[in-house]
Amino acid sequence: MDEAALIRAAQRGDLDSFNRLVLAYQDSLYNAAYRILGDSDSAADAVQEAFLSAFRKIRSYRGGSFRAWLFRILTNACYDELRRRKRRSLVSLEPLNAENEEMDTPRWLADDAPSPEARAEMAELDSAIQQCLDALPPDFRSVVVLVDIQGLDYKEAALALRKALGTIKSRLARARRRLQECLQQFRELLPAAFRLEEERP
Amino acid sequence: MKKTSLSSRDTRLLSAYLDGTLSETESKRLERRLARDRRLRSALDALRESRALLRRAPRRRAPRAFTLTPRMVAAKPPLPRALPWMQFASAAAAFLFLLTFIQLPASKTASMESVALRSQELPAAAPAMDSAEEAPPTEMPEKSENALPEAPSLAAVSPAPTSPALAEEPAETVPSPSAPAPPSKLAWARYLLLALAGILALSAYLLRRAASRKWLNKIR
Repeated sequence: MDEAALIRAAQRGDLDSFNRLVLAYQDSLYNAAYRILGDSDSAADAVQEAFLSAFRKIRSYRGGSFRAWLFRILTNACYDELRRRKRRSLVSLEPLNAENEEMDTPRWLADDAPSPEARAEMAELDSAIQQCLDALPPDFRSVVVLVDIQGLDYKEAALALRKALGTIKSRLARARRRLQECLQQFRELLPAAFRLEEERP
Repeated sequence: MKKTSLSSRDTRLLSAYLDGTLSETESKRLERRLARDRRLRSALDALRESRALLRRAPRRRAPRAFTLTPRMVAAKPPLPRALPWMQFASAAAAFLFLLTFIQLPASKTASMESVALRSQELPAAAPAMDSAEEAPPTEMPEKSENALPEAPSLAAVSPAPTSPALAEEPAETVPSPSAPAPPSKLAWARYLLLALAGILALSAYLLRRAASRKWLNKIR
């Protein structure tokens, strides 16, 4: 059965069909949730919550990219978790809001640099990437995770994050630049990972 | 060559150029600038490099299957046993609280009397609600029936609620009424009832939340 048929069956309440969709998407949803939340337990919780809620509202899916629709539910679940954390820690995760996103924001550009000791301990590209992602405000992090890590196009990302295309473009650009500056710090620690890149045309 | 000196407009242009989403004219214009601007060129290279790194980021696989069971889909979290009576008790407390307002316009004496009455019975009534949910409603109608019919008759007998009426009536029901106290006692009773309703409603909410969380963890 193709995806459209599985979705139609799921909309009629067929749980087995929905579960086949779950199996097809669970890796990418989990990977995205992990990159947005930064830890595996919260990521698993968010994914389970997202699938449960997707099944409950699958009748509201009206065509278009199903992947984007799923990612929308997932990012909502991730944002819920981030809000819970924010309430617990009372530390602001979002120095920016939708209005002033075009402003230059030295705060999140400047801080969150890992200590030399921490950098020395981070021998892997994976944790380097995660550390740099964690330093981004959630709105920027989710864009870059969806586009660069999950491979969504701009339109899908706009749909998943309920933002205008222009907002996606500018957030993505800023997130990439910030990530690039952050990853730069790991260049010496991860020569192999960077060398591979340089060999590319 | 400071990377941060790149304007956000240029960052946006470079990023969109990498993804091939610029229009043809925009691309051409940017390429002309790239050809003569080394700083811009190296910024583009750096962006491309980090995008490639992200694309190659190790992918995590789901640690388990996230498939749904019929139980997860259909079931609602079971209600904690304490929840129904807590909700009932908070409603009863709110009802009692409202009742303290309804009696006010009837007549001063009637309300004062009933306040004196209630303020004595309250300490007994509140624990009763906690232990047995039927207690408040059976008690209350009696009380309000007693208090309300008296009000018109009192007003008819003594148009101005003066000391004779006060002295006569409370003597039967309340042994030692202290005249200046009632208004503050009424306020006190209101606060108590309101606080009680609030506390009960809040604990009912917290109970339900805790229960559904526990349930979610269990079904996974």
